[in-house]
Amino acid sequence: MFGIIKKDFYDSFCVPKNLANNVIGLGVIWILALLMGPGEYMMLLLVVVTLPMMSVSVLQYSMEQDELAKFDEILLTYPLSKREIILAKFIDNFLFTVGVSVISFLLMLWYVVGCGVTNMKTGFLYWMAGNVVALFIAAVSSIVFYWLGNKIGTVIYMIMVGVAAFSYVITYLNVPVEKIVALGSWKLLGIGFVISVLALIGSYWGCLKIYTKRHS
Amino acid sequence: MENVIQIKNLSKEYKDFSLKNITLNVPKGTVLGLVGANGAGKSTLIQSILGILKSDYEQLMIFGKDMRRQEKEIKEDIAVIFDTSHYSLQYTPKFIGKMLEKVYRNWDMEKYNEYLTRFNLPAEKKLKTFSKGMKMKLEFAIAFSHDPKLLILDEATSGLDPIFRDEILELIREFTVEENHTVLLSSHITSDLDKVADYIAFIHEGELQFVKTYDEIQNNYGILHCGQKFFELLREEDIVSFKKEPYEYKVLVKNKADILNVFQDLEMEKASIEDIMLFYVKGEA
Repeated sequence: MFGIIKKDFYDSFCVPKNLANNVIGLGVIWILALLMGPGEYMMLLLVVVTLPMMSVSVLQYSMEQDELAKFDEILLTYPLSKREIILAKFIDNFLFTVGVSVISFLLMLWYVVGCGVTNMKTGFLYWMAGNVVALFIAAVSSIVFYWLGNKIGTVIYMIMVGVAAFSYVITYLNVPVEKIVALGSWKLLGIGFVISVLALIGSYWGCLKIYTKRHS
Repeated sequence: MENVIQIKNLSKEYKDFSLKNITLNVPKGTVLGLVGANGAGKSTLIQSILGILKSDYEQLMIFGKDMRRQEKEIKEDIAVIFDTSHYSLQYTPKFIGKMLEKVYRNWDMEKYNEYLTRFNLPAEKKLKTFSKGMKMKLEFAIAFSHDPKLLILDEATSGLDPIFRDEILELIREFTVEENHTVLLSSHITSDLDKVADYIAFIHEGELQFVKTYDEIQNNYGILHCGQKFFELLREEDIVSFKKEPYEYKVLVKNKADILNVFQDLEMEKASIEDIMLFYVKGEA
């Protein structure tokens, strides 16, 4: 299983095109943060929405390479069960989410300590909310990618990004930030976390069913 | 003789094709050539054996182990080579080695590097710079580096030039020097099987027509060219198939020696695997 995880990370960080996409994606976030200057809405956008949405890139890049090479055909001859194959993708996602979470944490610190946008407690709350969003996005994206394949999966993912951006704009124009902070209570975060974990478990089960059916 | 693969009544249903009740044993230490036209069911059978496709069967044992319960354990000792490489063109042989080191318990990196050197494969160049032949050699380097006991080749020689195919067949021969090494080789290039196969299994339209030793085919099968009168003299049980041509009958017979005992002056051609395949597919029974 670790061999497959290694392969998926190679696909994401050693294939020049994918490495460039990752670097550009992260670079754009930092540039955006610097250009737009300190602001709680911008912090919310980057820490709670944009960075968490990036966490599925390992899944997307590895599935793209797998589809191009029809890697599944040889993968299924390895001494690995279908459960392990699916689990490897979920571990990939989790590891990359941890990486993105570290970057997100640094960005949050920059906003809180460097720019004094908000207090540490609220900043931490946003960062945690971002992690919950990342887990939920991973759960939904995995099902979409396994069900519809890389190409259509990417299109759906882009639509999800569009919906998130649209929701952000609507919120920015209509809802005062205080209301959002009030909504983001620790209790709500806890419920969100439980929902995300349940979604991940459901997603793993669903992906396994889809994969098994595809190879039957 | 101990069987490495034991299949009893394996079936796989598709809307437009089905593999019907395949029963096949592959003896240990032998090379079994699986022949059949394109679409006959060779790849479906191989993928069913490997559990890549889900099939129905009464029994599927490999190395005496049940495929349903011990699939992972079984696959540690199997190497599979398809007609094309399934590794991303962005990978290097060095990276593939590092990846498979974590996949196979028996992975031997030293042996892998030796094969890369022997096949003149640059370890650090991406596969996109490799020719088809180089990719196929890499597949063999990969296959041999985790000490498999069963090598399965699914049309692995197709698309290669004759010189390269010969090199591949040499590698197969080398592999089978060890008596516990077994090969299941599917191909529609029957001349390749003439060079290496101990057994021939012929599959047609999803049904296994026969499994015979190569020697049995050579000794017992023959092709007769005759007129209608002589054709009518032949016993039905000796005729496998025949083709009625404008001026003669071409008959594939299976008891060559018996027929030659009765008709001593008869001229009989040797039947190659390809002849047998053609008679089964295009002849009349």
